[in-house]
Amino acid sequence: MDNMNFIQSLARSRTPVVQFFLGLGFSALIMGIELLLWHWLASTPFVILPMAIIFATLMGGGLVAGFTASLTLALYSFSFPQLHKWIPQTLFLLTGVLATVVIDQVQKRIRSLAGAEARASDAQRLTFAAASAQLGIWEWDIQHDQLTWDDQMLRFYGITRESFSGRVEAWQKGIHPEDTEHANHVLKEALSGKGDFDLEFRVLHPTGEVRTIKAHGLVFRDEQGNPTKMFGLNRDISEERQTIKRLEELKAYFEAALIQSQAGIVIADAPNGLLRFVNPAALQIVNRTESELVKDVDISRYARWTINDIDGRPIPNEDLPLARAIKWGETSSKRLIFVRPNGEKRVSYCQTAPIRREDGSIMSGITVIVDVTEQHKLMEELDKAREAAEVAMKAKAKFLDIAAHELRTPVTAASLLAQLTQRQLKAGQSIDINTLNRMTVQLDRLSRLVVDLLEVSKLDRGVLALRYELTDLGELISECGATFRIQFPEREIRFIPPKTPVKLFLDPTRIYEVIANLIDNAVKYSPEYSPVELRLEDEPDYVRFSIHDYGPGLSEESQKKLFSAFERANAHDKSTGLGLGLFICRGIVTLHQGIIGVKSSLGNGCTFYFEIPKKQVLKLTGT
Amino acid sequence: MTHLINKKTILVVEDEPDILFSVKTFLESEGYKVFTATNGNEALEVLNKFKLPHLILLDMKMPVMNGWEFLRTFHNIYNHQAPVIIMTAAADAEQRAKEVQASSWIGKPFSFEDISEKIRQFN
Repeated sequence: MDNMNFIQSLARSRTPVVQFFLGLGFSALIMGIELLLWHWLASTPFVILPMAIIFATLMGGGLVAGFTASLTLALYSFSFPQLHKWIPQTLFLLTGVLATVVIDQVQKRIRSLAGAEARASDAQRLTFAAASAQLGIWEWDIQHDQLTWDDQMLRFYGITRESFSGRVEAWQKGIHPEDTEHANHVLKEALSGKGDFDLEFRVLHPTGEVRTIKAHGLVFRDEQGNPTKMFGLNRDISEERQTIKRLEELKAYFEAALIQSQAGIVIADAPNGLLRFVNPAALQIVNRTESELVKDVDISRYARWTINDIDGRPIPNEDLPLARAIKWGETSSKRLIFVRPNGEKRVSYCQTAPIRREDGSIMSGITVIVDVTEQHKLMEELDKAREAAEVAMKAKAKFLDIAAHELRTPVTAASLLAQLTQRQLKAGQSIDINTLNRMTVQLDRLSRLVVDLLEVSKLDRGVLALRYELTDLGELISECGATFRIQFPEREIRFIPPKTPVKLFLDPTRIYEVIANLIDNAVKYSPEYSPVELRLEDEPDYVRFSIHDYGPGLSEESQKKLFSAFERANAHDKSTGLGLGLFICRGIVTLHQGIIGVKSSLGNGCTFYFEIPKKQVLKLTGT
Repeated sequence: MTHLINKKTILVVEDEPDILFSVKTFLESEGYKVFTATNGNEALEVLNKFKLPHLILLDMKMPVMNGWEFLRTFHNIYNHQAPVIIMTAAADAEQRAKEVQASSWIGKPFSFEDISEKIRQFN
């Protein structure tokens, strides 16, 4: 290598001016040496001087050095007496010039060889690099329009060595028609020095195949700045481009899906839970469009979204499903409540999961939120309805239970009494009229129960039909009162009929039933000596019947259950019937669109009343 | 006196007077000595005053003290010394009888024959 460098240094070229002075210098040097060594070198100018010229040329690095030395030493040789004849000097000069030229050529050759070798080793490196990176190398001698392509380039353009023209048009022909204009423009700009040669374009193979090429190039210029040569690389980036295109397509599909999704989607990155993606549906759940909810929001700021658990308790930031997914890789499905700025609560079903890298580490978390507020409300209502239905069913079951029991008692009693009578007859005894009387009583009781039950059933099914008639209510009350006076002659039942008749539309049979029931209760639950007072009030919009007794009265507790089925104010009451009386009364009064009630306190008797509106809204199914 | 000792005694506990009357009349005509009570409390008083009957016919739904309460006390004090037949209108009479640890049951409405049959089991 050192030898190489030495030889290369011998071949180094220099500028003409430098060469001139170097030539003079060496000549002076030789002349000096020669003068010094005059005695010993007297006979050897023919040997030394040519050698000196050679030396000067070598060291001077060029023709000028050589010529300068030749001339100088030729002139100097005139100082040698033995060289005074002109033939030796001319020969000398010619030799010098010849030697110079020869040496110069040799030097040039050495330079080019050294260059070539250097170029060869550079070329080797380049080829190797290009092959590894799959690069095509091109070279364009601009002046002679000589384009050089390596094999890779040919492959890139899909042509064979034979069909390659070796001129720049071969390149231009290979470009895809749509990209030709732009490519040529960039080339022009590069050649004129206005820009770099750096572009991407498609090439169209003769087979029709399209590839995408990325090209780089450098422009070499001469001393005037004109472009002489271009040299560059091509790289086939078709696969790259395709991959990028596919990725962009996928990205577009996914973004569209996420944005269009009716479900809210929130994606946050590990480790801080910084929100990366929030789709419109998610913002819609909280009914906010502010970026305050998205920008720079990490786990420490999740509270901005105002999220509570299903019981209404606020959830700390770190316990939110998304935070837990990112921090602990926790997957969850749960209902949460999002509170809107106006206070409205939206119940949402949230499914959250971590997103992991190939190595298992957590990259992000994703949560999908579905607003289920309406369904939630429906479910709550369904639950309530179900509960109500269950309560009603239990009540009906109890009703049937009690009804069954209550019916069997008079049946059993009447039956046994009849059996007694049978035995008495069989035994030849006379029938005890008492027995038969008691039987009748039981059967009456039974029949009343059955009637009551049927009425309750009709009321329950909503099929109790009222027969409306224009009725004088005062007369109805009087009739009823009279009947009771006959039944209970010792009781005082007071009623002052109104001066002007009170007439309105109602079902007289049913209302009679109600009045009778109320009078019956009053008589039963008040002492024998106390009066029972009936009253009829004629108001503008309604009529009001009330009945007051001076019995013990009712506690508030008892009043509550009064009008429901089977409740008797007094648990020890042995009165007949199922305790359905007031229940039926309420049913009948309600059908008349009226109200029924009681005013009482312990020790102050009872006032039962009902009010019936004068103008009733006739139902379509009414008779 | 002897006929009193020979006669078996039955306690009938029933709040409905017509039923109580009918059953008492029938049993007496069959030769039993009948004690009556119209609720659980009265029944306990009768047991206290007189000796234990051979059999108790017990209605379940009565005021003051019903059948359940009576039986609880009865089993506590008298420890199943007398068989108890419950008279019940319930649909699940057998289940009820088991629940209250009664010896047997008779469903309402019943006939005199039904009573005879049941009583025969305990003779």
